[in-house]
Amino acid sequence: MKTDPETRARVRRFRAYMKREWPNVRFVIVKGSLGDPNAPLTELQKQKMESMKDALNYPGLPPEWYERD
Amino acid sequence: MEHEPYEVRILDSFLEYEFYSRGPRGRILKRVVYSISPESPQLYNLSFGDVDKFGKINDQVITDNKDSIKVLATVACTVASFLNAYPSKGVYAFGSTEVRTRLYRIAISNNLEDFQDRFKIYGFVSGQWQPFRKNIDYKGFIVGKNNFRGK
Repeated sequence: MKTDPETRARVRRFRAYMKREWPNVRFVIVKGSLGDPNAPLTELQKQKMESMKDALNYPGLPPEWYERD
Repeated sequence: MEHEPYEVRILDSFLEYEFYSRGPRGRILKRVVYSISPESPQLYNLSFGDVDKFGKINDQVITDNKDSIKVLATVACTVASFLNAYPSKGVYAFGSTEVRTRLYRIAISNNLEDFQDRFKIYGFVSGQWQPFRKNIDYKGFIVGKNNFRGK
């Protein structure tokens, strides 16, 4: 499977960042998915999503985080 | 960070991470997943917990592997990694239990000076968001990359 240019750039940027900011952390970058990407959300995850939606109704955050597409 | 994080397996999308907790209860697989909010594409939800026998995250289990500080340092590292990959986004986190929310709060408080150089951190309390301060009983947190203004 060929990696797209955006992902390659992201990986390059990440390696440089880790070397600079977290030099002691060992990591391995893998392709694909660690779990089932199509797995349905658990009840708790649904609750969290609802809570996040609700949290955006409250003031105090930088404006860019309230943007809705 | 005061504590060295565990070695991390990272998906090349930078949305999923895995590592092993090691302690008296053995080697326990942990997973961190960032999921986009259906409401705001600017925010991602942080899910974190043990991987159960079905391969799913169980974020309510109490592992008690005596390494919570090291585990939280590793989760913090995944937040930094995610925000490096997606610098305009925010990470939304609130604990699945009071205890875990408190742990998040302690982890942020203990490393606040270091974090504030790199991240903007907001806490949710009494119906509003505010820049994170120590000793406040926040119910949720949003973390973003510092000094990032564009999309």
